[in-house]
Amino acid sequence: MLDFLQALIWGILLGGMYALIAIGMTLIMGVMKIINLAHGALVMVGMYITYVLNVQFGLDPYIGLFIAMPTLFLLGALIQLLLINRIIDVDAILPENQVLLTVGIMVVLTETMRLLFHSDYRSVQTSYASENIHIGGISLSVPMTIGFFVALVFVLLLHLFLKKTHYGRMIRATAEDRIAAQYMGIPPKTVTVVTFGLGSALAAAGGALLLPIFYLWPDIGHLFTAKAFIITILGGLGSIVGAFFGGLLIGVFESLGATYVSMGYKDVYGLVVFLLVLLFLPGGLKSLRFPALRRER
Amino acid sequence: MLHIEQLNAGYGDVQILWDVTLDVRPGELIALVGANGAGKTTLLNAISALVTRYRGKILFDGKDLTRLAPYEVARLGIAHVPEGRRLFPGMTVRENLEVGAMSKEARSKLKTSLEEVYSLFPILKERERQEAGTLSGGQQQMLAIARALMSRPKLLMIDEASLGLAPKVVGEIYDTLLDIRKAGLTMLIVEQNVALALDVCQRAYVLENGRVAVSGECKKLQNDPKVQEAYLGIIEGI
Repeated sequence: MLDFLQALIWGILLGGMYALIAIGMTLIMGVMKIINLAHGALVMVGMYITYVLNVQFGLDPYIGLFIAMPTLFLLGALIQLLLINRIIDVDAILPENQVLLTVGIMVVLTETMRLLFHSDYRSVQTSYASENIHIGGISLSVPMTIGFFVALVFVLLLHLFLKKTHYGRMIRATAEDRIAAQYMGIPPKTVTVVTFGLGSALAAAGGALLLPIFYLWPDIGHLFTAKAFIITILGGLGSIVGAFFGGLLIGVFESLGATYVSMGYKDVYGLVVFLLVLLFLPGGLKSLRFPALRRER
Repeated sequence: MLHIEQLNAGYGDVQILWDVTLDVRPGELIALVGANGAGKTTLLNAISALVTRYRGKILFDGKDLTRLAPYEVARLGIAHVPEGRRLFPGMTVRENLEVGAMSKEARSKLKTSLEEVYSLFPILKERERQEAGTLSGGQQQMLAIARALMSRPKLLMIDEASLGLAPKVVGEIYDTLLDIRKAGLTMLIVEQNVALALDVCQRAYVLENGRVAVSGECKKLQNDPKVQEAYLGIIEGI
């Protein structure tokens, strides 16, 4: 029983950080209607920035995060402004081509990092990396606990931003109906630039929080793209609340699978959940709320 | 206020509008009528910059609209209630209205505007916290009009306000539109129900196959035998 509880809590902690990355992807998905396959690469870039700040300047990853986030916001906004927006303009090109473009961006980012840092595994050395807090027989890893709560704060801040601020409502309106948003006087391109920037900043935050726990190498991006993609589908495309609980679910499944089946298949369990969701709940977690409500378009 | 001259427009290579000329003067209620596929919606979309304009002029308060993007047209003070209403279904009634007030000026008068539209459509105040997608058809149409009013427009364009609604609800909506007009707002409405449109408007343009077939004062058009036969179902001698 204690084993189970331990695995469950570790899963939730890890899942909270996955959720942060996936929410960045789902935010972009909601507004752009495309899956950003460079998302994991953006996480990876965020991790390298945090890593360099730590190794070169001795900055703690949790402080480096506040430099990685604005940097990635800028990188994401520039990618949208200079690359993706150009493709949207061309009528004859299918939306799939925007997805292909994100694949290209992913390759460029990954190989640039390989050029700079080689394919070596790297990790940051922190005093708390292997420390644990013990509560009634359960031990909580310090970096995972900090990571989870910081992620939670970011998710809440994003939620408030989207619900309460003028700009947040502009983003939601564009996600719900891009044309209707233009009737209201909302400039769609500006909104997509800001949204891509925000999504990238969240990816960087997720990466920085995971840095004390994970090894870092240029190809780690693929892992995060796959996880974020699964969580995005699991949550119901474009749903932020759905993506948050989807992230927790994937984290818990990985953790339980690693405890009770085999550690080696850790990344397979998420894919199993993915298949099950596609088969039995194709609308994602989002569809559990108002299952019968059909939205008019 | 709005002056359209020799406008040719369409979707990509498919031309819909041919040499359309139209004028809207301040304070007027103008109706665009015609059969399905006559080009009424396309004309509104051409003003809102959502279709390709090939040739011709669209001037609003002297400014040329043909080179502007849709959001820029909206910011000049043209509010468009689109066909099918296009609300933001997952956002609440209140949030839909708040998004309607996008410009700085409209936002500074948000409270006044909210009070105004709630007094025009009291049901929206009752449903304030409900998601727009869960409203009835009539309430959705009211919300779409209210959302457009939130921008405090100079010109209100409404596409098919009566479509798919019960006659009683249509009556309520048109009563409110007439109240808004009395307050001085200029309106350009597209209406499939020709009898209804000619009843409320001052001048009307009848579109046929993308061209203006007839235009003039609504009272005169109501008595025009050609219009009666084609659109009002009145045939002489019966």
